[in-house]
Amino acid sequence: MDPEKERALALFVVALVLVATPARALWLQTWWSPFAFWLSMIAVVALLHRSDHAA
Amino acid sequence: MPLDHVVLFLLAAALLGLYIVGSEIVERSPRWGRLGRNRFSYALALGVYATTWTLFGSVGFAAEEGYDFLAIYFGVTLSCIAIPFLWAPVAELVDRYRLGSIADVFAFRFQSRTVGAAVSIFMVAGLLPYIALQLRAVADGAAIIVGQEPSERVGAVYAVLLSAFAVALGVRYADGRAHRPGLIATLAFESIFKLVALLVVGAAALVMTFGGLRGLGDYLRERPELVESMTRPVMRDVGDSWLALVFVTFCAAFLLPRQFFVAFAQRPGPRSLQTARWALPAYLFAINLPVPILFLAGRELASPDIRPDVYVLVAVQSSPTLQTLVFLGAVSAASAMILVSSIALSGMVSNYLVPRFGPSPKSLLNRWAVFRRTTIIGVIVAGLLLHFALPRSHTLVDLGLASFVAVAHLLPGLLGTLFWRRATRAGVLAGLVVGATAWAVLTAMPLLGYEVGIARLYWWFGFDDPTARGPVIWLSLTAHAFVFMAVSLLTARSPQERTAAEACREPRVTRLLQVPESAEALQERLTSYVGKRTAVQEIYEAAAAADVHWPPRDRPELLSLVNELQGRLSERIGPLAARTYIHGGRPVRADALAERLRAFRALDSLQDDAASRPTSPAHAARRYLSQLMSELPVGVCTVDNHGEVVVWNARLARISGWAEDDISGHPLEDLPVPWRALFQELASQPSGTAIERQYHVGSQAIELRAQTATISAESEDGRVFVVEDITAFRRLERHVAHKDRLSSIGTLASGVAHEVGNPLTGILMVAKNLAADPTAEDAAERLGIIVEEAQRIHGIVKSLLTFSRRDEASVELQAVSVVQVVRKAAELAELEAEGCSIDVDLPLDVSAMATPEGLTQVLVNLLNNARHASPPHATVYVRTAADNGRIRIDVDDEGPGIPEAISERVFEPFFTTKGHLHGTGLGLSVSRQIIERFGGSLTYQPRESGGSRFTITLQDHEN
Repeated sequence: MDPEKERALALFVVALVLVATPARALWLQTWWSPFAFWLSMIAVVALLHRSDHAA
Repeated sequence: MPLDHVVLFLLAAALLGLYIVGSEIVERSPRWGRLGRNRFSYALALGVYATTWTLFGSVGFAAEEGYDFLAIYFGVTLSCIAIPFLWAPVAELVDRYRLGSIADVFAFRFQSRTVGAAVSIFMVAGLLPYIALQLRAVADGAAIIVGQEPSERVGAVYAVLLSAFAVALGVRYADGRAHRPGLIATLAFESIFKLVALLVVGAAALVMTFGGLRGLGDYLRERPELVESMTRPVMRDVGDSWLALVFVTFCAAFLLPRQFFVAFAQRPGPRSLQTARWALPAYLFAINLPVPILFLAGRELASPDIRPDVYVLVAVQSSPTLQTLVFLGAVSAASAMILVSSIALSGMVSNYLVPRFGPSPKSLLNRWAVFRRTTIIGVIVAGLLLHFALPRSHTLVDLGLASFVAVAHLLPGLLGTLFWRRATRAGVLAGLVVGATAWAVLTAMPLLGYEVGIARLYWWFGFDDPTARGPVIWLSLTAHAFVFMAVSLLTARSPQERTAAEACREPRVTRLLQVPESAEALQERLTSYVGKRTAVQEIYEAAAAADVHWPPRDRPELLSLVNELQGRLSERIGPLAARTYIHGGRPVRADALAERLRAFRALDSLQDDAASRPTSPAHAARRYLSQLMSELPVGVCTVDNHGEVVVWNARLARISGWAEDDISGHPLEDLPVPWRALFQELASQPSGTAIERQYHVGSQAIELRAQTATISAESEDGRVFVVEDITAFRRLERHVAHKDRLSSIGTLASGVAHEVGNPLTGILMVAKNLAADPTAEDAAERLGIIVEEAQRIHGIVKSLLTFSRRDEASVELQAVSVVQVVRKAAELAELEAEGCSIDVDLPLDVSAMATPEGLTQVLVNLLNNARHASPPHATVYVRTAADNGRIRIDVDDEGPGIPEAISERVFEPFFTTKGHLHGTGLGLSVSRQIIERFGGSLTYQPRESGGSRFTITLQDHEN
């Protein structure tokens, strides 16, 4: 598996844990925090895309 | 129809008309066409995921189940994170084999139109609730705006509008061509429009209802129970909605037919998917930002009898303009969804269902536009009928989720396609049947008002709340996956499936295309299926699209044309029918070793590129053998137990002029001339047989030496043919033989000149003297010399004649008594007169096959030679023996023997050790020829006790 796929898989696992396990309580504190969490996921993916592209 | 409805309808029609005009401009104008090829446009086009469900349904969903509505988008975000390892392989497969739909992928992988048909039926049935949802949302929205109760008439009118839009653009873009900029640009613009509409309405609701963000914050702070009710549903147990929704939307993000169509079939370039990884979630994030605001505003303003699905309109009820804007956003979203879904579904129906129940693929190809229009209208009409049939109590989310659950049932088969080679056609069919049945019973029937009492079933599996969404999804998918795997493990894959499985695992390295032998053959084959007119038209269009000359000038051009043609046909009639039409239906065997070896070699070359990749011992061994095969100085061809070529090494490619890619995988009978004849002849011979043949290839003659051997392996019996081009060798051999003949003639001429010249000189001198003095006393003596020398010349000429007749017709052989011939020869040789004795030991009175005169002549010659070689009073021995049907006659002398250096030359004409006064040098060579004409041999070997031994071997008369 190439590094891009490895990074994507690692990020997927982390995101899956945060979204699909009881760990989701972490981002369910306020009415706006789910959106903040969502935005941070997108930002990480965008940064990863940028570094993959730069590489 | 009330006036307000007319206005709304006209506005909606104008918007859709604008889309049609815009798409035409983008499609026709190179300048605007770039909009449709932009990767951001592509990411926005994927926003077709957001439909009226997002504009109306999400607010209603949030009102009922809080932040559970976010699961619909978190699933998509997770799916986008998985793009490099989940979407990308699908995209590669779709690109490689020009697959137009998810049904094509399944049909291709499992080499079955039945599987394609099953997926198509499931998807059409599964997507109808979603289409009904769009029509219902638009009709309800229009009714709310004009202040009337929702009616079926209004729904029907908008269904006609959306159908007309879908047919107008659908047929335009369902023509089998990938990457349509007009469509992508239209979808991108539509995504922007609905985003802007929702953001504007959300901002207006925020200001009008809460007085801004601060007011909203104060509102929520005063109602902490409201925030708690929004977040609580997300934290429920595993059997509840959140996880199930995340899962089904994870699948829907790329498996929904419309998502698949845009994501893979319309992908403008390889980087587009990478951009979509973050751009699509970002778009969905933006469009969902107003949802909580609109839900809270709608909740605040709506009366209890208002359905939450229309809160978005209630939230801005004081502004008909804003209501119209969001309504148009909903029309835009619905029209895009229906357009792309109907294109995708019509492709599946046309490829897999219509040929089964109606026209053949040939008629389909000839009149594809008619079929596409019909199926597009049919799909929308079916959605409309379902809209009428469904109870109004269902929310938009209920309808949408029913479709998502159906789509989630494609995941096991898709994972099997990408990652599990053992998956079988029977397995995927059984899984789909179980999944579709479970979906119909547990999801579709309750939707239509038929509740199925299976609460106890849920309880057995530990689900406390049978009304939750989780149990339905988990149980049906578990049953599907279990049956799929179990049946796959219990059934065998066909050879075609095995090849396709390899192709799906490594689409870069496995090529299923086999190029037809010529452009004419391609056209002829296609004509036999679809008729000449269509065949010619398709080929010309493909040639134009691939930018190749017709007829192709070389094989690379032919390959480009075939690739383009296969892609175009694949998108119109499915990958299986397309391959049959181009390659004549000859199944590509996928257990074919040739295909596997080619895949391995391509894999090797890929691994070569990745220099950092570790090399396994098996890989190194494979490369070593591959290199060995390629560098062997002889041609090697192997065939498997099906008679198909597996190996066609580099040397053979050079000898034949046919590349390995053109030959491997083909049966022997398909090979070009003269290789077919050569290998078929050898294949019928036992192992170890070698043959030499001369062929004319074009204007050149080639001489080949070929040998065959049987390969016996555990599972791969076959034959190996080793071919040597001996043309140059034979040419050299003939050249040497010619030179040898010239040399022999030279030697012969020299000998003749010498042998005849000497006596002739003597005759000339004596004759001159005699002429000068004819009365000389010794005139009679001189005349005697002349006669003697003339007789010598006569003898030489006679010997030469005998020598020159060696190739004449064989003599009449008879049984000759060896004893009698030896005795006669001894008398003629007059050995005793020369002071020699002869010791004849003839224990057997045997007869040999010869002529008495010939054998006597040879023996006299040998005895004379023996006499000359022997010292005075020596003995010459003659012995005979019978040995294995042969008669041996040995003539031994007691002379000094023949030096080893010249022993090989004693049988050459005019070679003599006696001097030219005593011999002509023709005796032994003439004797050998005589014996050989008898079918025997004359050989020389030195005696152990000294002297020479000449041995005559003749055939025994008794044998």
